[in-house]
Amino acid sequence: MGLADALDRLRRPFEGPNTLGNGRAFWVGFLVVLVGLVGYPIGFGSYAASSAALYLLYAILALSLTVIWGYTGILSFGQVAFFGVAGYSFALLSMNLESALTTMLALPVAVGIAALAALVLGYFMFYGEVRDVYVTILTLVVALVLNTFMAQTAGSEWTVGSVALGGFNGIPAIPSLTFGVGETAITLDGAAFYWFTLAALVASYLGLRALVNGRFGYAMVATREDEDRTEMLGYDVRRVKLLVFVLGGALAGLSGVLYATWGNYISPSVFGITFASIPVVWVAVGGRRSLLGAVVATVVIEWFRQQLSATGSQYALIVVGVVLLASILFVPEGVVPRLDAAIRGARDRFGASNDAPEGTPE
Amino acid sequence: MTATDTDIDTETTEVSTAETTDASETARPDGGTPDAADSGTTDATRATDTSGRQSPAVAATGPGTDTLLQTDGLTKRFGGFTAIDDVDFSVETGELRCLIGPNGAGKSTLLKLITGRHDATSGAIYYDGTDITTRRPNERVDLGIGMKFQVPSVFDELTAYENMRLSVQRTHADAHLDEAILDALERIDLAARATTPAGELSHGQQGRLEIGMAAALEPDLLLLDEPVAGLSVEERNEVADLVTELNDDGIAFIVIEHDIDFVAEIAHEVTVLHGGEVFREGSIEAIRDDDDVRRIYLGGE
Repeated sequence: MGLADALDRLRRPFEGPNTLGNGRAFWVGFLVVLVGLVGYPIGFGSYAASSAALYLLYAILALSLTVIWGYTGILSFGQVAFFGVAGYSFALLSMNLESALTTMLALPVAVGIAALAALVLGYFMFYGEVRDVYVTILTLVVALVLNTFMAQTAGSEWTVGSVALGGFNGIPAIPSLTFGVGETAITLDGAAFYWFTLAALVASYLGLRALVNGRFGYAMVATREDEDRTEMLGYDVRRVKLLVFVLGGALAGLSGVLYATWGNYISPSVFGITFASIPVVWVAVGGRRSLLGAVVATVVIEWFRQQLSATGSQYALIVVGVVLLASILFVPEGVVPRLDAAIRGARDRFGASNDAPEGTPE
Repeated sequence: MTATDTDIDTETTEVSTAETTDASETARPDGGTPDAADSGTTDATRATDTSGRQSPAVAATGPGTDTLLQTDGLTKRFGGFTAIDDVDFSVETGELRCLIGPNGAGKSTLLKLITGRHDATSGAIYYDGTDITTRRPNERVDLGIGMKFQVPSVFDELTAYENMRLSVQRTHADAHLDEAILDALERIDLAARATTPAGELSHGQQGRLEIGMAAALEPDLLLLDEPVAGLSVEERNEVADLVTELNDDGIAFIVIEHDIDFVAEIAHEVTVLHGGEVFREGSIEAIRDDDDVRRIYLGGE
């Protein structure tokens, strides 16, 4: 059983009381789903993969809100601000510096700009002792101000380098991500873009699992539960909140860059009230204290929204609103944690646990 | 150098004068307070002998003094109400001091000023050679001041183990974390309840958990606000044992308590606050027999 032991050791950093899905059974399921997702473009073709990539990149945006809201207790209504800032930054950088190297370079720089924006906004909020609902309002206002500002950049005076901001129409013809130079360059579109996005999502998910189950994760959870108490254990809660906010800004930024290259297009609507509220719906429905819940709910809700729009229905957003209301009223902790509890309950009742290590401390 | 020396001498003289005056104001001839006045004077003198130019914080609580905490003219006003009025209060290293006084005397406010939950209106707080008057609460914790709140305020949704982890992970590396957490729970007799959410523990267990968490930060000074309020006799004794044990390990305590029997059980030195001022300071016996203290507790001026 040397291999099983080795695998058990491998999963340990990703497990703990702060995440759902501990134990061998979960990771077996995780690998099966992952293999299925990797194989999806092969089975369903490049076009389907390209549509699905949108759901996966949105899931990274959902994760950014989960760490900030679900784990640290700060409801940011403006994650889309960092999403959009990174998207626009990527467009301006990659289109101004048209060489083979640029999209590779523009990706981390755009993510860095989003993180920097989160650092500045977060510093003034958290070190200025802005709390609770005021953080929510302030973050939403930032997104809406960006929305209004970008929408009025239609004139020819609004250009950055050679790129026009385009006002309400946004920026078209943003290059796809390209890796490599010249003949050997690989442009990420279709299935390749899907795989890249999937890898980014899986890396984000696993990285966050390790984070929230580690020292810093405990500090985040304690900050959510009671800031004063956490401070009396010697934690600088302002710093904890700022670091989480910057991390969330960077993840939202990564999502935004992927979005801009996915459709080769970005417009001020990414800062709008509709798009700003959607991440809150994903996270609330999936279970705000669950990373897995955020990912699953995002993919399901976005797929569903896509299906409704494709059949010509104008009611997609209304249906999503009803889903949000229903989940808050009937499943306040979120759908995925509820399912997890139901599965555990069923397993306990039938005593069919062949997964002995689960739930027992080392 | 001469100028500097003179400087220090003046400063020192001021400090000792202040302390002596303070002590004589509050001391009863039959109380134990002259001790406090003496130690104040010797501390200040010793501090000057051993090093060069000193800040007031180092002079009052630095190396070479026995004083761990010293407040200097500490005042806190809430609007027009003066909750703490020009208080000079000191605690020695390893001491166990009880703070008593009628409701509204300013006991909790004084503790909150020491932990940084409230900012002082004027005056200063020196701790272990550092002026902590404007330090943030978490910085004061890092310097070695721990606190147990009046209402048990453990993290209800986290298990006893996770609660203790929050404390223990600040002083231990990952490799020893699990072991250290279980040890700390063992010490407060909660190892068997490790996986129970703290909100489901009894009142007494929550209180012990909170003291245990504060102690796991390895402080030099622990502040307890009414640690046995609402506890059964048995639970009360457990807390008394725990406090005595931690005090024997060298941790100094400031304990707010109304239960005079509990105070008599654990404390030697008692400070009586009244109307935001230090009313009496002395041994528990002297305080218990003091007619003026009885009078303020029974009401009236």
